[in-house]
Amino acid sequence: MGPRHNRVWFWLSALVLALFCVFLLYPLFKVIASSVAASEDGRSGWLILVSDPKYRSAVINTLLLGLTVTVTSTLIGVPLAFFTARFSFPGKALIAILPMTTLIVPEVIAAQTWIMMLGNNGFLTRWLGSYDIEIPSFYGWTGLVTVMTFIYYTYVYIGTLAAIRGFDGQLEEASQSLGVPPGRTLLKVMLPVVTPAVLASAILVFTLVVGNFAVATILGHRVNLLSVLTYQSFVSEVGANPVMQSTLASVSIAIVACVLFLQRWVLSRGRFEIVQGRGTRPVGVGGARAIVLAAVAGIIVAISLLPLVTVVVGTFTRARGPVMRWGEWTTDNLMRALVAAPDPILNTLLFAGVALVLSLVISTLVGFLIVKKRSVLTPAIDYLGALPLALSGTVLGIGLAMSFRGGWLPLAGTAGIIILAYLIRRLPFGVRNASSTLYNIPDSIEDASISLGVPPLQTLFKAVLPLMVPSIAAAAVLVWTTTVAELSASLVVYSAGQETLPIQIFRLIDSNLMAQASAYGLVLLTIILLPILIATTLFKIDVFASR
Amino acid sequence: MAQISISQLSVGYGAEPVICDFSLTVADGSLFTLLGPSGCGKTTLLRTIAGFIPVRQGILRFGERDVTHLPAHLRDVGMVFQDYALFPDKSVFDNVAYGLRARKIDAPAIQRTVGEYLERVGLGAFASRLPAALSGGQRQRVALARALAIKPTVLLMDEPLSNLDAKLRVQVRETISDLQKEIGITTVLVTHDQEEALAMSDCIGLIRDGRLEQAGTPQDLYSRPRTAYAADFVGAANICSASLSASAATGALAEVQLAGVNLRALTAQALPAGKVVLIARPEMLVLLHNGVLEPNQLPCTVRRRQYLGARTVYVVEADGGIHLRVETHDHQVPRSVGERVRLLFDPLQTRVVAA
Amino acid sequence: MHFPFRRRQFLAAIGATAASPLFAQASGNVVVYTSNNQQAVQSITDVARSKLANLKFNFVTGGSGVLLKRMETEMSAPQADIFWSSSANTLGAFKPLFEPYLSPEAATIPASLAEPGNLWTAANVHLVAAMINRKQLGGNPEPKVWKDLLDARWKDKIIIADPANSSTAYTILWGVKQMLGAQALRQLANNLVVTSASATVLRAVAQGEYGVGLTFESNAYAYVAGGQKEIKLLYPEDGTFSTPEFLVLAKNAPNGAVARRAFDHIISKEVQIALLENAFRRPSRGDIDVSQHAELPNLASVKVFAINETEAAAKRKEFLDEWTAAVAAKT
Repeated sequence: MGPRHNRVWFWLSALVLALFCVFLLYPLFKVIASSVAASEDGRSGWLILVSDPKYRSAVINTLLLGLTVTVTSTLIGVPLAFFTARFSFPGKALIAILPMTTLIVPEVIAAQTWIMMLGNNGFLTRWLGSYDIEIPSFYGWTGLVTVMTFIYYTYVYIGTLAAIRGFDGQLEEASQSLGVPPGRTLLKVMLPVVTPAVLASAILVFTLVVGNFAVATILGHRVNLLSVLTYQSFVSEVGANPVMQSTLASVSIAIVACVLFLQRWVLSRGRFEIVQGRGTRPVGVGGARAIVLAAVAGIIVAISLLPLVTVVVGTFTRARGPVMRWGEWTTDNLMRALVAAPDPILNTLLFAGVALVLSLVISTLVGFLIVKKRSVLTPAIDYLGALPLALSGTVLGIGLAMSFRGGWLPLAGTAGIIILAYLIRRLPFGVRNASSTLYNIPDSIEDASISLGVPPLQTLFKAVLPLMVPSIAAAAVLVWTTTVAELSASLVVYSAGQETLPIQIFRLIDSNLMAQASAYGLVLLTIILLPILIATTLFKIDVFASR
Repeated sequence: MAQISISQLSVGYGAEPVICDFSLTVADGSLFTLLGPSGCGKTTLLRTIAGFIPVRQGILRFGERDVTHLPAHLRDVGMVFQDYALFPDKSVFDNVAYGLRARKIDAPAIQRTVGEYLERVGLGAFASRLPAALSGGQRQRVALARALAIKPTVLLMDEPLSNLDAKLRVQVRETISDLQKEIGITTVLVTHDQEEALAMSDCIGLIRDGRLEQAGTPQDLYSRPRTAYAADFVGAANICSASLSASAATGALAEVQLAGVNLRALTAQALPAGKVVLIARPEMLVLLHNGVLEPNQLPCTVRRRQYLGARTVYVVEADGGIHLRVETHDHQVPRSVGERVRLLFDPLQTRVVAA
Repeated sequence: MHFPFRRRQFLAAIGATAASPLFAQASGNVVVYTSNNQQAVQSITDVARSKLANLKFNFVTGGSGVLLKRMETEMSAPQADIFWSSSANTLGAFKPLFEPYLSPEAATIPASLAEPGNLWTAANVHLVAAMINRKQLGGNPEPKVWKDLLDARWKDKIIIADPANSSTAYTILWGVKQMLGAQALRQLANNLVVTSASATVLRAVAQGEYGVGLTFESNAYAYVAGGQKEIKLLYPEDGTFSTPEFLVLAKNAPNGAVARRAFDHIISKEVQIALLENAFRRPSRGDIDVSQHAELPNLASVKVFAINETEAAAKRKEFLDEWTAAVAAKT
């Protein structure tokens, strides 16, 4: 392999880096740059931000909400993970489907279904009302914290579970043999080891809450929140100077950057190499304790799955305009969604399908460049490949809308910009997946193939790619389910006729047509669930390996 | 089949090349071992021959063919990797057939060739298995069959035995040796195990820090090491500082002083008078009961005695605190710790090298 | 090796598809910028499915002010064919964007609602109403007249949309000022919470966030008709305001003749009846008997305070400034 060949890969890396710069860095830069431009009355967005109490409260509320939900999610996720990892109790298998719920249920549907249950028109509210029990309004802080907690606790659960499972049981045994009782052993030995993983998950939850759009918009109401105000600024600044939207988006970027920096710092201090040890075998629990554990776990799972049930019920409930007539059944909603107005479904399938294929190809290439063809450009590609995870969809959408409206690459108005938004947002999943797979494929496989006479490029396709197929399939399922449910970025960049399912559901919720929203929601859930079911049962693919 | 000529090869980036001005010839049909400690550059050299590392300077030839800048996939080398590098998703048959298919050989011919080589390595019945279902030794043999099936010009092996357990190692050593002789293919093997090198090779090249320390037959390297390093790496050796009374030519029987005693020993090279190094293999030294000193005898005290069944190892101390290891066989008279003895040096088995 | 070739062709196809303007607007398409809700939009499309099967409606939703501003920026290359709908006071500032068009369907619309240059056509007539959530009155007695709503006890309990974006809100506030004076406007401003979108007013009252919302009857009545018992409509007894809602054909509409057909469709009898039955919007057409199709009070039974639309339009900027000042002076 002469130097000539290395150059090809170097230029490919340069190309990928250039694409990242154009489609990721440039929009971000535009957003931040626009924020320092003056608005109509001559003040810069930052001045307005600081002087207007509405925006100030939005920033404070957002941070407060982030902290609160992070705490509550951790309070649920960590104990649940602990009990799942360490004990066997009846119904434990049910808990295994928890990761599915965050994967399957799009946030917009989750928010919608909680409203349908506990909103002022909700069936639970009505039912309790018939017994003269008044429950407080679900909107505002109550709804925000509740719904977000039940969406995001799964992240903490998964992260903590992995850490506890990987924790070497022999460390505990050593501690106990040295005279430390089991309870204190957990605190002194296991907790420090598991903490970095818990913190990493918690920080992830924080950034997700800050960037959350769907739940914030639908349930927020009087509570000013950054993501909502950003979107509203975008809407009202159409055709005008994009001042406030840029400023607010920049604030969002700044918050996330700080948090990521904090995460780096925390992890670097607590870093120790944990040799993957044998986890402790789960202890069987019997009697009353088992029942309590099973009940608690069961309740949490049930609550997480309520959206699914509610969507089904809502789909088939008759509605007169915005009012749901619970108890009256009909198939009209579903017929309207499938037959009369199926465009959102078709759009979603097409856009997400194209984005999926592109995403898999590009992320496999990027993963390959990062792992196997390292160069001086690799750290930059690595970082940029992971960056979209940290950005909120609204911010990205605004950046894309600003950058590609007319000018040298007029993507605005075409489906291309939606596909681009999908692609960028979900690329990190594919890259992470491809990278970790490639790390496990030794270089010697490539060398062996080359020494046997197969040229380097063909070697990739004949020897390396076949080994990646299972993990690419898993990544495909993951990317599909998250792309199909994407709302905040596509909501900003779409044009008439290009509504996707989440956008249509959002608009229907906005007009309070819950039954119709449910019908589309059911279709969306089916589109999400089907590939997962097929992958896990038919092809035995572990979809959650790269989460 | 061809001879490998390496002339003044330099490999590596930056100011310090990993391999520097290296020259070597591997005779056609021979098994040549590159021996050395970790990091000495032997694997780098092997990979350079294979074509995975570019040559900065120098020439590499297979027979008449100049392959110095030829891409790896065109060099027609068969390579067995340290981790075997079997394609996990392909069966044993498909692994071995891989290179043949790349050469567009027709299916019946492939069938025959693969069958033949699998039989040769004793794995005829395993054709449809996947690598995961094979033991380490079996995988190694598949890797060997795969490399040989394409009938390459040259066979390269990177630490082929290091991942096997001790007993298997000896077996596989013989398999490789026999196969190589049978086919007669020019082979370069890399190892850090000197016993392996001695047992298998027609010729050994001892590598140190990217340079060739000494090349020769196993006997050459063992009996006639040219440096203290070579003596120490291949086999065990007593290495003592001594002084040469007068300058001597190569291969001369010179007089050296060690611990105040005059000894005669063979020089490995031309040496000026002054400080030199004396090399004596433990099994070449003889322990005699105390008595009148005769020529080539050193008075010592026994400090330690280790009975190892087939042999016994003694550590003796001479004047000036010099410690020497002596290996004796069971039939010789045992000595006890603290006993005064005389250590007999055989001049023809004792070497003098530069300090 | 087949794979690379197939991949290249596939990528080319994707590229063509994504960039193709086909996705923006295919033939037989009409783009409508509308501030109306999904029920109203669906009334149009449901009827269109049987009557105009080969015509596809694409809706872009938003506040009227926002959409009109957007049309302004798009003037050199218009994206919208039709704007539906807004009141004259809001439309007045955007006349250059509109194409004069007298639809054959407009024959049954009373002449009093016509615009002399046919720059816009009345589609529906709205009555301002207060949407009241009886459970959220906070102990206050149910208001009956505008004066009740000026009382300090309603501070921050009444929600309204932003008049700069919403023609609904603009009409209401202009009407209050005309009927009760500038002082009353300031008093009302004290009690009002302003939200950026009209839809929020309805949601907020229906979902119990606010006791009173100022809006049009059509939007609020959906909840009453749907059976949400605590929701009630108040037509202030000292006089409420009515305003027509106009349909506009955009100048240089991208879809030309097809746009005109869509325009006719929207003010056709079937669509107007559908709008009445599903979205509770009073038709402008004289040939529809409201009481046959919905349980809305007849126009005759409601006291209406007439407002001068032209003046409302002419003094738009001035009034919005006055309003902003009133809000800023909130105590």
